[in-house]
Parts: sequence; structure tokens; C-alpha cells
Amino acid sequence: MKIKYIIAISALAFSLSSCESKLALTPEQDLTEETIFSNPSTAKSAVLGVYSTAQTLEFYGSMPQIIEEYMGDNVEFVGSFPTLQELRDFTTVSTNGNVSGIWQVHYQVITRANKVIANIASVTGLSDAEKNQFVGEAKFLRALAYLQLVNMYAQPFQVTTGTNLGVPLIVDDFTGTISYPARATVNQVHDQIKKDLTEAAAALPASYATGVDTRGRATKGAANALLSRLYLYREEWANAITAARAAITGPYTLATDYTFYDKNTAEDVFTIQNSPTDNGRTGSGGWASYYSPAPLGGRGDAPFSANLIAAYEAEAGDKRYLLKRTGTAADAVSRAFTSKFPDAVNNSDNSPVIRITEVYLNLAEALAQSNALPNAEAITILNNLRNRAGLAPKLVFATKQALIDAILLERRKELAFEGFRRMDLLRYKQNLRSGNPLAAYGGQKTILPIPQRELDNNTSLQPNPGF
Amino acid sequence: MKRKLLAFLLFGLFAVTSAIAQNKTITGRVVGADDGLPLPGVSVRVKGGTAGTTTGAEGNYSLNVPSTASVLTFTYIGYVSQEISIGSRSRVDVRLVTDAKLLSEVVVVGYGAQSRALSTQSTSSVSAESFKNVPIISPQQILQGQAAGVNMVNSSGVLGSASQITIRGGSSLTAGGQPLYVIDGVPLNTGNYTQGQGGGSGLNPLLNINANDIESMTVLKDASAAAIYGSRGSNGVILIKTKSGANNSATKINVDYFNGTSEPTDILKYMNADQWRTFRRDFLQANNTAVPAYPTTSFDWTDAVLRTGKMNNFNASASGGNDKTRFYLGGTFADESGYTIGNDLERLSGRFNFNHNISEKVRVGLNYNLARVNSDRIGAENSTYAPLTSSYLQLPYVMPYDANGNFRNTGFIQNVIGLEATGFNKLNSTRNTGNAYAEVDIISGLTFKTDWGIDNALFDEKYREVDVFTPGGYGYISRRSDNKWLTSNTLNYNKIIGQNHSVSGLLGYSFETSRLTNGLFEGQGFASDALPNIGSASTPLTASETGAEWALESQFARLGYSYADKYLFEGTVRRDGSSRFGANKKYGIFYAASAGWILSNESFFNKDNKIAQFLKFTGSYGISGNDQIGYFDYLGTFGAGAAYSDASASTPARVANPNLGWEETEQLDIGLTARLFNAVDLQLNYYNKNTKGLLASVPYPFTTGFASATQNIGEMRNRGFEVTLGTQNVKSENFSWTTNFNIGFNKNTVLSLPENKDPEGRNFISGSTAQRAIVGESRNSFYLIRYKGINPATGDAEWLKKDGTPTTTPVAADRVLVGHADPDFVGGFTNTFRYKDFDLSAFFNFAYGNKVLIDGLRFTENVATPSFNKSTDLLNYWKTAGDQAFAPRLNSPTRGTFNQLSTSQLQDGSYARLKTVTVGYNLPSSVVSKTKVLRSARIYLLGQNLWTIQNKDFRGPDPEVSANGASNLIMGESFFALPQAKSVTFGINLGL
Repeated sequence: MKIKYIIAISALAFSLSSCESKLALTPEQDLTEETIFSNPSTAKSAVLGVYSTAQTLEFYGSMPQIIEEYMGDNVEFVGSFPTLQELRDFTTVSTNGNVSGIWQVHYQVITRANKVIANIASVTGLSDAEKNQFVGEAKFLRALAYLQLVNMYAQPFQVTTGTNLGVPLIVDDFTGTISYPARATVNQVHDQIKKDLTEAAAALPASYATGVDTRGRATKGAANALLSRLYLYREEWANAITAARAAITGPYTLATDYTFYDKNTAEDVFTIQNSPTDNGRTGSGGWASYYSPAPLGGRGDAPFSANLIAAYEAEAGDKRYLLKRTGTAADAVSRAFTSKFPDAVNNSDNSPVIRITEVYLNLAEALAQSNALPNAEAITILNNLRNRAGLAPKLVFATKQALIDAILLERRKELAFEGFRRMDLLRYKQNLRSGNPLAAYGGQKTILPIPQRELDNNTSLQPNPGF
Repeated sequence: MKRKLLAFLLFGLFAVTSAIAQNKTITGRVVGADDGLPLPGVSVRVKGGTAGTTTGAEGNYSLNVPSTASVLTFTYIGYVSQEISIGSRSRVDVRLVTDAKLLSEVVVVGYGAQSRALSTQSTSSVSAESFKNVPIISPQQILQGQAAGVNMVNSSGVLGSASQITIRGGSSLTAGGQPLYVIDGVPLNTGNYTQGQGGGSGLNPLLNINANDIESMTVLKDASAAAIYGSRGSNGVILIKTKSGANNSATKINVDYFNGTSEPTDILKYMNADQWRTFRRDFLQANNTAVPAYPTTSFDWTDAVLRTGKMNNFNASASGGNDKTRFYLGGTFADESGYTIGNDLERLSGRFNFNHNISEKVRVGLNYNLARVNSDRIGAENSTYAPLTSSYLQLPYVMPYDANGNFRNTGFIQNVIGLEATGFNKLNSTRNTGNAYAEVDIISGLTFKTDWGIDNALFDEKYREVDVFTPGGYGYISRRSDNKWLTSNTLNYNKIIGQNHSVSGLLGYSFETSRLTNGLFEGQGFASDALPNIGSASTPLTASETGAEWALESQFARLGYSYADKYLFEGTVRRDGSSRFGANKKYGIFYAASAGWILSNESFFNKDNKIAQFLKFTGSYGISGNDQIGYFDYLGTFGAGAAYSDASASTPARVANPNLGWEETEQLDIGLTARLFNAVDLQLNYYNKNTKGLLASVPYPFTTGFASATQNIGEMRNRGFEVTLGTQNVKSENFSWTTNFNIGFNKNTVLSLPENKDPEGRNFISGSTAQRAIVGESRNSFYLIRYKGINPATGDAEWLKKDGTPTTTPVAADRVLVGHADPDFVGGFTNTFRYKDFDLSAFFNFAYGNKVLIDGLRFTENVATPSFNKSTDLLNYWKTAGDQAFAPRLNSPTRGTFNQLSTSQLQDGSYARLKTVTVGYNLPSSVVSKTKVLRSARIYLLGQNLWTIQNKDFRGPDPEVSANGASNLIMGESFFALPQAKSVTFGINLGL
């Protein structure tokens, strides 16, 4: 009798011997660092991982761009986020969570690009052409991140011709040893961007096998176009002209109307591809979420400013002013919103980074700036855009400055809501908002604070004054 | 290692079976006479002989006696000794009668049970009597204010909300800090199984554990108690024992029913539409801005989302047994609706506990619980889709309906009335928890037990939003399951050698593993609101499945020795191997040693003195650990599953750390247990806990691309003192009055942290924007700009600079330490009166010295924003020089910064609350006996949270908040928590 139980229990006890190996478990959703750069398909997924990071709300998922628009005078921020309101009011402090998030995601794009640049050479099975292209793509995205970062966290080039502090430059792969970098100057950051874009332009193809990739991945044209933007911001007009002309030779044409948004047409030089299932939306933040009225599914946070409305209404018949929809804003008042990003439900709209229109505007501005008299080519470009907008041509400009002013006005009306306004004001030493002394050119809070979290963590970092 | 242990176990088994001689073996079970509950550690001896044994956790014993033996003696501290003649029996069951109440208490300990009087472990236990009939949704609520040194905070008044429990100050920073829950020997899974809907955590993972089936909850506090749980013991262990039947007793049936209503304890202030429009107009005019034509409508949103909560609870149980079998059967149906719209919870659960003696030496048993909880969820805290949050923020002129009477989409601050009236937000959860065991007495005093358990939890959520709120409609289903199995196999040995040497030993092996699966499916674009399922959506937004598994393999041992019930010693050791740690740190060894001296059992101690009847000193020291980190935190990984342009993408997720290991807490405990004046039971404990190798999420500069990495770095200390007092103030035939009081003081100090310095040069780790762990200070220190008030002369809001001078433009560098979120002490105070057939009980719980941050005030106390409603406090704004105003001058430069994060939102969180008060009437036994059916009958009225004492300037609905649920680094913060419910229930208990 007794033996029976003992045998039964012994059998149970023996059944445990299979347990030992159970402590050796592996993750199911992750790959280890060693495997990721061991074959072409996972290595390619790491390259696309940099683009995927670039989709994020805090990079090109709209938050930095919307901040640029409402710190400038295109957008009236009426939303309820205190951290975004502080930026609107030029009263923020260094603990602002959005400021920290934007910094973090930009460095994610940068370090993920660094990882690709450092490791892609060792991947067996990739051709040299593929390796060059992947490195070029990573350099392009790194340059884009540094340009946006330095625009936000440092006073513009114009304040001290770029000798002021920019942001830390990280170009090497992080492999576990923490470094505590100090801030490079704006000029040093710009030099790195120049270098990356020049190398990327040399390495990248003019186009890809599919139209979507030609618009949605980095190309020779995109690198040159971004270079023209950098030179414009640095007032290096001749270089800006060269880079813009190089970009224009790519597979791009000015659209004939304004239906090109989210369509991957020849208007797009580089556009981050979003879809309902894959986009930068975070919580209730996203291009269309901020820019759409409530009944259409948006937050209703970022309608047209009165100042922008006045700019459009100053010249009747502007088709770009029709790119709007009216509805209840976050303050429960009916307001006008842009219709450039219509899908507030899923935030599937692509993020426009570089359009050929911008490149033409860069070219026109640089031409106008670098000629003592109103430049004919610049005037032609200006009128091409005015014609598309349904406005009568302007052929005669009394002075160089009159032409520049006209180009800048056109630039504002053309690129409104896409994230250009703050820099376009600052580089011409304009105040960001009228009537608010805190928003004056050179004001301490016209730029973002270096996040307190980073200052705490890295004693080599110097804070921006005033926060 | 394991094979060796198995071989040892088996060798032991066979060696001893062959050794069993022709001597007679007596087996039996010792229980308490009054409650039929098992008594562990009872000395069983042959009268006149020297050898003997002690009973095990379930009161069972087996003793090899010479054939000449005729009488057995049973002695047990706190009980009257008994002598029983054996006769021809081979089974002797005994019921012992108590002679002193506290001393007779039995406490459940890890893998066993002990007499409180003889235990050297530091534990607190709460028995069913303390929470009987109290409307409780999750078992953690039982512990609030009932156990010294346990700080239990309900995260909010949402039905089934998560709770935060810290035992002796908590031992972790960024690793999980919640205690291990063990129900009848099965450690429960306590992950986050529900979607957070505005708060920092989901619902309570123990939602499905029914309080009605719980007989007692025991909190293991010191190292000697917790070390047997090794790598999971350092944040404390809570042992839950469920009810069981008694041998040889008639089947008892208990039927309980209660019904009640609830309302919020308090709500925040808010403006009505006229107040808002007037304030806004005055504000705009003061700033020379045109006043828009605001709608003239008005609506009271808060009033509309509040309702009278209702609860209904029906519970029936049957228990009993014969000489071989004992059983308990219990079932509960409960139905509760919260005091805000959209929040309902329904529970159906059943339990079957069964024990059977197959033979004199072989016993088997089963504990099985099946529960289903269905809930209508609501958002809370930082969600503008949450009824109460949204109602505070919604502009009071916004109407929920359009001109045609249809619901309107009100945007970011959504129309919660419409949301709750349409669509759905459901949780359906089921849980199977149970274990089965077989136990064999091998030789006298030696028992082998094999125990197999499961804990399968399934949480299904389903959410749907109709077209008006998301064009095209939106929905998701989330399905999380956590399925565990475990086995533990133990050898128990109990022997009394000579007259006075009592030895008990435990040797065990266990293996435990659990697999977590998450599924999320999200879709948008429905042809009609009448289509509830995601399959009908035109755009599938998310189709995600993730899974992960962990495993823990352990060997453990405990050795107890006592001499003449005077000198007590115990040693414990456990070796754990875990899948969660790096190759270099896979295994950890934890241990504890303790000793006790029962002074009152010394021969020189006069037991008849009037002052002290029992005195015991205990001391323990040991090390336990914490393994509550992610599944694979030691591996450097790339996360797959991202995408770009329809192709898969991978991004770096983590830096490798092969040295990632256990968090270790060493703890010293010194205790005194006493019974004084024949009426006072006193327990005092001092402890000093040092946690080393803290699992800390070490912040990295973002310029590395990583936010942080988990490392063993840092050290923290908790020091404290606990008092538990039970007094029998009056005891007579018609009237009795008892008091129970407990208080636990704790001081938490962070001793070292990774390099990350604040301006004062102290390393810190941030929990939230407001709260951080700072070296030399509490892990829950608030670090904020100090708000000074409105300057009566200028009307500007003023804060203090770091040097203490006033400023209207404070900066981050002006932040200073302004208090901490962990209380200086917490406790509870219960008075129970009985007069003839009436009883009255009042239970207060309290917390003192902690600060709470009501972050939502940053929103409701906004002066300048037209985006949401405001507190009526703002109507008291500065108008003329000399005004002692709440809010600044309307055109003050500080009008936009008045509500910025500062000590303005930080409040004194001390409170004392009348947690429950009960008045009951028992039908006299003379009446009951006449019914021939009833055994007992009682009716009662119970009030919960009826009265709260708090700081008179407290500007929040409830000082008891924890928006982040069970977070270590963020305590006492809330956005707009639902306050605790104030409820009154009427109930009836019948015994058949």
C-alpha cells in the first residue's frame, strides 16, 4: 500500500528533471545586437529603424513643426497642454517635458543613424552599393536631425554668426561607454551637417525602384535640397544657389495645384511616409490631430492665427487660403484650420520635409540676396508660384529688398503649417510675435531650453540662459 | 545541483520506509476547540517518555510510540494541556481549549504555520473578522490600517483601482516594489493586465481574489519571515489563507447579503457658466483684448457625471467534514455601480477547498478558485475621456447635445456623457487559481509533501467609440493572459528529543514558470455604430501579439530549534535561479537567522504577577531579494516590430548588462511580544533595513540614444518602529469593549545613487517632474519651486528664489526640497463594543507627515486659458492694493504662470478617516433556536469613509491618492483622482 504512494510521488519528483533548461529563456520580440548586423535583411531593418524613429511625434510627427509655427505667427495655439502653452507664451522653464522629449527623440535619430554608419560595413551579404546607400541614408537623416535640433535649441546663426553654442555633436556609435559631451558651436554643428549632406549627396541614388521610395527615402536630390536650406539659414547665398540647382535637376516638378499633399508626387523631394497603422501619432498628438477641429476628430489646438489670415486676405483670391476647414477649436470657439493634413482620425498623412517648392523658394531668395538689383530668375520663380496660387504676376520690383520681401511673403503663404515660420522670422531678425517683448529677436525664450534632465546628467552641458 | 537534491529526497524516502519498525505509529490532527482551525507546533509526547514530535502546518502529526505507551500528552502555549489515552487506536485527533487569547494565535508563515507565541518571525496578520461584510473589491484593501508597518493606498475611487502597498517603507526604486502575494502556497501573478486609461497603471491585478473566501492575511515583514521566499521577499510577502472546513462537524451554511449606496467623499470646485463668462470677460478686458461672443448656454457637467452608486453582494458558503474529509464551498455574486456614470463591476466567483485522508498516513487536498469579474470601465486621472476629469475641465457653456438632441463631439475634452451613453469600455476577466497536494507521513515526524499549483489570469478588454466621437468609429480589443504553473516539494521533520529539545526541519525544492501574452487589435472605420467588433472595421490600425516567459528554480531549507519553550532559534536559506538575470548572476542565495527568548517561561519568572503574563524578546537578521525587473533586462537588444513605408524596421532597445543581478535587502529586526495586566497584548518591533545593489534605472544622457539602463547601483535604508496593541477594556456578560491599535513609523533614506547630481551636489533619480529620490533624503522627495502667494501690494503671484527672496519669474534652479510623499507614520485604530445582542465597531485609519501633489489644480486654477473650466477659487483675484487674494491681478505678468508647477499644488496629505463603522444586532440565541432552521442571525448597518479629518486648507477631493498605482518613485500624486466612495450598506448574515 505504502509503496504505491511512494512510487507515485517519486514519479512526480522525477518529472521535474526537465526543468533545468527552463531558466535559459530568450526574448520573443527582440533581436540581440549581435544578430541585427549579421545579415542583410535585419541590417536593412535597422536602416529603416532610423526612418521609423524619424516618424515620431517629437521629430517629424509634427510637434517640433507645430511649435515652430505657433512660436512664429502663423498659428494660434489654443490647446490645453500647459507645456505647449508655456512655449507659446515664451515663459517655459528647463523642466518642460515636451522640450525634453524633442531633444531625446532627435538624439535617438542621430544615434541610430550612428549605429548604422558604424556597423553596416561588417554586414556580410550586402553589396558595396547597398552599403554606400545605407550609410548615405543614415547621414542624411542625421543631418536633418542636427539641423532641426540646432534651430530649436540654439540662437540662430545671425545672432553671433554661428559662434554661439549649438548642441552636442555625437557622430560615433554608442557601445556602452557613456560620454558627457559639451555643446559644439552652431558653426561646428553646421559644418557636420554640411559634411554629412555632401557625403550623402555623393552616395545616394537620384531615385529608387518605386515611386514611394523615391519620395520617402533619402536621395541625392533630398541631400542637396537640405543643403540649400542650411546655406540659406547661414546666408551663404552662392552655396545655397549651387545646392538648390543641384537638387532641381532631380525627378521633381512644381505641382500645378495643391492636391499633392500626401500623394508622393514629383512635388515631393523628401516626405516621411505615414499610414494609418504606422505614423508618428502619440496619444492624441499628430499633424492632423493638432491641425483639425474637434468634430473631425482632432484636438482643435492649432488654428490659423489672425496674423496669417490677414496675410492671405491682403491679396484676394489666393488658392492657398482655400486649404482650410472651419470648426470648433479646443477653446470651443469656431476657428479656421489648415486642410493640408486632413486625416485626424488616423493621422495617416505624410510628413512633408522637403518640397521642390521650398527648393525654388530657397533659390529665389538666394538669387535675390546675391544680386544688387532685382533678379529676373527670382522674379520668374516667384511668379510661377503666384500663378499657381491664382494670383496676378508681380513683375516690377523697385529694389532688391522689395523682391526679397515678396519672396518671403510667398514663402510664408506657401509653407505655412509645415514648420518653417519661426526660422524664417529669426534669420531676418524679426520678432516672433508682435506685442510680446519676450518674443523679440534674440530673446532668451525664443529658443528652447537645454532640458534640465540633460543638464543634471551631463555637467559638461551649458544651459541656455534665462530658463 | 537539483539532481543531487532529488536524489537526496528520494534516498531519504526509501531509507526511512525500510526503517519503519514494528513499533506502533499514531497519527492524528490537533485543532482549536472553538474554531476547529489547525494548530501547528503542538508538542505531542508519550506520557512518561521523553521522545515526541510537533504538529505540522495543518495540525497533523505522526509519532512512533512503543507498544507499551498508553497515554499521549498534548501541550501548546496558550492552550490547556490534554492527556489522552491511546487505547487500541492508531489515530488520535484532539481539540485543544485556549487559556489566553493572543498567545493562542496561529500565524501562517512561508511553507507552514506557527504559534505566534513561539515564532521568532516578525509578522502581522488580519483575520476574516476584521473585514467581514466590508464592501471590498480587491484583497489589498483588507490590509489598510490593519497591520503595523503596512502602508496601503487606494489609487483612486474607480471600482477595482490598483493599490499601492509598501511594507516597512519599501525596498526598491525602479524595480517593482509590491509585495509577493501567496494564496494557499501559490504565488500570484501581479502584472499590469489592463490598459491604463489616464492613470499611471491599470486596474488591480488581484481583482478576482474574493475577500469572502479569505480566512486570514499574514504580512511577512522581517528577514526571518521573508527569506524563505528568497529573491522575492524583500518587499514583504503577503500570505493569504482561504477558508476550510473542520473535521467531524455538522455542515454549516452561511448566507450573507448586503445592499448599499455610495457617493464621492468630496469633489473639486468649479465655475458655472455665468461665473466663467464673467471671469473671462473681466480677464480679457483687463488685458485690453476683445471679448468674443461666448455662447450663452450653460451646463453642469460634474453634476451630470455623478450619480448615487449602488452595491449588492450575495455570498453563501458551506463547510464541514467527517473524520476523513473536510471541505469548504463558497460562492459570491456581487454587483456594484460606482458614483460616476459608466463605472460598474460585477463579480461571480466560487471556491472549493477539500482535504481528504486516504489513509492514516496519506493525505490529499485541493484548493480551487474560479472567478469572473466583468467591469464597465471609465478613464481616470489624466484622461479627457474620463467622466470626472472631463467634467472639471469642460467649458461650462458647452452643451452635450446639439439642437436636435443628438450628442455632440466636444473635441479634446470629450463629451463624456455621450461617450458613456454610446459605445462601450468593458473588461471581462477570469481567473483560475488553485493547487492540489499529496502528503505522506514517512516515519514518525517526517512528512513529504508535493504540491502543484496554477494561476491562470485572463483579462479581456473591449472598447468601442461611435462615429460622432471618432469619425467612422473606433475600437480595440486587448487580451492579456498570464498563465503560471509551479510545483513545490518539501520534506518536513518535527521531533522532540529528550524532555526539552524540539527540532523542526524543512527542506524543499520548487520550480515556477509563467507565460504572459498580450494581444491588441485596433480598428477604425465602421459602416455603422451597430457593429461592435473590430472585424467590421475598414482600417485595422494595430494587430499586435507579444509574449514573454520567466522561470524560477529554487531550493530552500529551514531549521528550527527550541529549548523548553524558552529559547527559540530558527535559520532559513534559499537558493534561487532566475531567467531574469544575466549569466554572471543567474543564481542567488538568501538567508536569515533569528532567535527568541520567552522570559516569562523562565522558572524565576512569577507567572502570577499582575503586570506581565507573557514576555518574549526576538531578534532576526537576514537577507532577502527582489527580482521584479523586466524579463530580459540583462540583454542588449534591438526591438523588432517597428515599420517604415510598409517594411519592417528595428530600433535599439537596450544596452547589455551581463552583471545584472538581484537586489538584496539586509534587515535587522528586534521585537518584544507581551501580554500585560491580563488584558493587553502588546507587540513592539524595531527594524533597520538596508537595500544594496538597488535595481536602479540609471539615467543616461539622451545623447547616448538611451534614456536609462537597469543596473545594480545604489543603496537605501528604511528604519522604523512598530506598535501593535490589543486591549480588552471591559469584559462582562452583557458588555464588552476591545480596542486594537497599530502604528508604524518609518524613515526612508536613500544612501547612494548613480552619478546624477542636482545643484546641491546630491545624486538623484527622478520619479516625476515634481518628485525624486535624493541621496540623504527620502526616495519620494518633492523638489519644487516654492509658491509664496499673491503680493497684496502689487497683485502679482510670487514664488521664492533658491535664496528665499521673492520673485515673479522663478526658474528651475529655484527648486528646493519641500517635503516627501511617504508618510512619517501610518496606522489604524479600532474600537469594538458589544452590549447584549448589539455590537458597534468603529475603525479609523490614518497617515501623517506626507505631502500629496494635486496636479489637476494646474488646470483648474488657470487664470489665462480659455480652453477649460476653472476653480471658483479664482474669483477671489486681486483687485486693489491690500487684497489678500487667492489669484493674481488679472493683467499681472504672472497671470499665465500663476498655475505653474510649484508648491501651490502641493498639499498636506495627512489624514485620519473613519474607514468603517458598523452597528449590528444579533438575534438572541433563544429566538434563533426556536426557528429550528437558523443557527445565527445578524443584521447590520455599515458605513465606509463617512468622515475624514484633513488639513483645513486641503484643495483636493481626497488626500488618499496614487495616480501612478503601485509605483515606487511616484507616490501621492494625482491629476484628478476619483476620491474614495462614501458608502452606507445594510446587510444580513444568516447561519444555517
